[in-house]
Amino acid sequence: MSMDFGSFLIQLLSGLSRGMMLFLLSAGLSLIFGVMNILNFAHATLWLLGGYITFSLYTALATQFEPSLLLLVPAVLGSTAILFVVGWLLERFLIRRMYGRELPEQLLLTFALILIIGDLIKMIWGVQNRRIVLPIEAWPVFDSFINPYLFVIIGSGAVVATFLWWFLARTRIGKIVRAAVYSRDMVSALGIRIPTIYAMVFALGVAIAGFSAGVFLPIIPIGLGLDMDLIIQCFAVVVIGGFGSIAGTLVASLLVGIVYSFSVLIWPDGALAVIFVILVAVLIWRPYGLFGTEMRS
Amino acid sequence: MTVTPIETVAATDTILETRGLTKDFGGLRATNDVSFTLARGAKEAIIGPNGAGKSTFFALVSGRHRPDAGSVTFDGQDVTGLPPHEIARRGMSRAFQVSSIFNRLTVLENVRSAVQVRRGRAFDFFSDARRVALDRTEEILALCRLADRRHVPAGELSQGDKKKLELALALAGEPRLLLLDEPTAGMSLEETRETMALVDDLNESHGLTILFTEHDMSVVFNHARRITLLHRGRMILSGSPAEVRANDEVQSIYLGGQA
Amino acid sequence: MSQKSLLSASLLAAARDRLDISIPVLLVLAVLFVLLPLIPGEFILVVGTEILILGLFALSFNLIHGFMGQISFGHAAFFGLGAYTTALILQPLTAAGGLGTITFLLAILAAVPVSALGALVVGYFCVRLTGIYFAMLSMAFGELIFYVVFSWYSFTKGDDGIQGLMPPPLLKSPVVYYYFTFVVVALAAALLWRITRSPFGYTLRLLRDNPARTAFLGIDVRRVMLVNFVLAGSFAGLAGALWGPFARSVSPTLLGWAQSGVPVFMSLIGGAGYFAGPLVGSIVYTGLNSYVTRFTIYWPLTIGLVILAMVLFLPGGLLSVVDGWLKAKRRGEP
Repeated sequence: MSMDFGSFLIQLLSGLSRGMMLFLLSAGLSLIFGVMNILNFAHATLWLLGGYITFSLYTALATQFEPSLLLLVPAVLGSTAILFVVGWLLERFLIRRMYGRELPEQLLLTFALILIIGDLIKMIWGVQNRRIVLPIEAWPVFDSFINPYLFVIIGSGAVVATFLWWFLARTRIGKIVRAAVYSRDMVSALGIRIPTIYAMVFALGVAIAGFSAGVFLPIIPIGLGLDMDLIIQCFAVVVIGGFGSIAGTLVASLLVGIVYSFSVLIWPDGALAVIFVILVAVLIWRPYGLFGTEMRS
Repeated sequence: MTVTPIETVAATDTILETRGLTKDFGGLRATNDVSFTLARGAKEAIIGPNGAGKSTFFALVSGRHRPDAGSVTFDGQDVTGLPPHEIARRGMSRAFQVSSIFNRLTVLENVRSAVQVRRGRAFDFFSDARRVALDRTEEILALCRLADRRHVPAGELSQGDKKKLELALALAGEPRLLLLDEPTAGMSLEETRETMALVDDLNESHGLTILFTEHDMSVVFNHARRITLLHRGRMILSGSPAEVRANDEVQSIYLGGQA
Repeated sequence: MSQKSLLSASLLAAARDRLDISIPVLLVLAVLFVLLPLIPGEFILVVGTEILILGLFALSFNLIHGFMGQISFGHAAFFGLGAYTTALILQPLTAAGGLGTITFLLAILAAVPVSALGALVVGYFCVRLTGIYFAMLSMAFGELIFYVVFSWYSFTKGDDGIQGLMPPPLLKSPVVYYYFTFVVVALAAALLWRITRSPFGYTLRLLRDNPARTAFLGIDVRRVMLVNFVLAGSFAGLAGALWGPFARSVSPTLLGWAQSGVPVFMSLIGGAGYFAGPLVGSIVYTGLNSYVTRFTIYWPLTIGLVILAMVLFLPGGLLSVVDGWLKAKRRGEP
């Protein structure tokens, strides 16, 4: 099929923004796994929770003030903060008990969280899809219209990604976190309180997930089940990019996002299948991902 | 095992030969151009300070790692880059430094399963595993002095018994070449004596070729007939215990390094 | 870490005493299943049939989990493939009104090779990885197959599912279909029992305890994993085949992630370390599901909390409690 430049640009931008969100989700997933060795199956469900909380905050604010892009800012930040606390509590009371336990038990615990959080969402927000409609004019570009909000998503995603990089590479706590990936004993021998670091990393990962959900709300209606689609795509991202590699996660996220965005246009039902073709190709070519190395046991 | 005429032709006096074996990890050259020859029926040791590349050398020979350059010939066949199970099937068994056993199975089940694998029963779906290959299993248990521990889960064994089981698993493979990575590490003096007596016996009475690494120099000098020294991935020298003992370079690497 | 040593201690304790409590448990269960129809009412037959079908599904899953040490989060794909295979064969025959018993049995059996083939393709990729990678990839493939069935409306009727399925006249009454299911599941379980105690079964245990070392014994680890994956998929397919005629319809949810969670939960509840664990788990899970859903729509929340409690306080499953109790008694401890 032929595609004019305008719609090509739209698909590219929406793919980039989708990729950015996948990156924020997968980066949190990888960070938590890298530091604590816990694979959080419920990561995307917490993302969904963040989306619903943003929705409620925005809706509440919109009854007091004129709905606008600016009103989304406190809603997203509020939801991010709440998710940070949720993450902290989850780590403090549940996840912490799973360190050093066998993998299936860890997976099961977070799998149970999917069911529990999913039903809590159903109790509070019901089963209908929710979205935020922002009063934003689309920009005409060539023969098409581009939602300028896509730039907000890509921009804010880039800001958070940069923050994450700065945090890990430049701050003292970030350096401790990175050190903890390599040697827990060393870090605790330095007299640093590992439990606090762990709680913080988990909370940070969950908060970033909540942030990305809030930012995405104006272009994607959220509903139950979306979390499972997303966690699958995150898995595809980390397998393609290679676990533990932030660069790999970024490249794979953008790749998956863009491929998904174009596939949806051409073959709506097969978008996930296209991602799988990439996944399978990568697996055959490089079993530990594009940027990953075989984990030493 | 019956020896077919073809194997007789292929068989030479050399059971293992590496040429220019090289492996890098990141920037580190863990094994550097090692050309090593082991004669059939030999009992030799590889020594070297920590990080000398002994474990990497074993890993390259046994297929755990693929060499970046060089070749490995085992019993007349090029086995360079073959996966571990292919090399094991050709008759090379390996016992590990840190005992690598099957914790949730009993000692008996450990050895019996290993023997069943060797006998080609890995894909036998319907026999009763408790009745397959028991004769050989019992033989190995007796040989390794584990018979009275047969019903103990491997994870509950003492360090010394774990190492014995490690050796038993290697023997279950009915090897022609046995690689032992620090066979007596973590053993008591008595256990060390027992284990090395078994190693000697396997070599002398059963004709098994044995290559081992060891930190305990008294074990090395009392049991190896030839010793090869590795240092920083390179093969420095190879000779009889007396030659190695007298060599200045050995003195400086070992004593100099520790002083 | 203290929890780790606690856990490994319990694992070792489980291995210490070689009497397999699965034998008495299976015998007791067999008697109970035979006598179950004595309880009046049709509902108990429905619950009993479901326990048996899902129990076989969970037993097949445990071949991968309890015996091989990997966790598959996409096992429902093979259950679903089996269910759809049988359903697609039966539906036109049932509609035409000419479904004979032999045809029906063949339709059930036809599910096995289809699921095996599906497992072969998925397994080919999954066995290249272990641990979390294996879990993630199996889940991802499961979802992919779900989407294929969901989207391929012309063949599978998509979201509508395939309706109007029926056992043949001879097996139509609930009590007869219950006993029919019992016989099929019992035969399959006996076969699985035999396999888990064969040299192959022990090869799987080697892989579970120490895959790296297993390779040095001369085993092609991937090949063993793939063969076992296909075996597990085949038995899951057989279980799936029994589902359609029992539930009168099949739908894509049978292949979804939630359905894949079912055998995982059952194994955990009963005890993945025991052959009979998943069956016990099915009784608890299916029993709870059948009765709890009468009172609340929040079944996921309920089972989620049960799982949470099990993981935190009883990671060895219910049978580990029975096991520990019996052993303490035999040793004369209080």
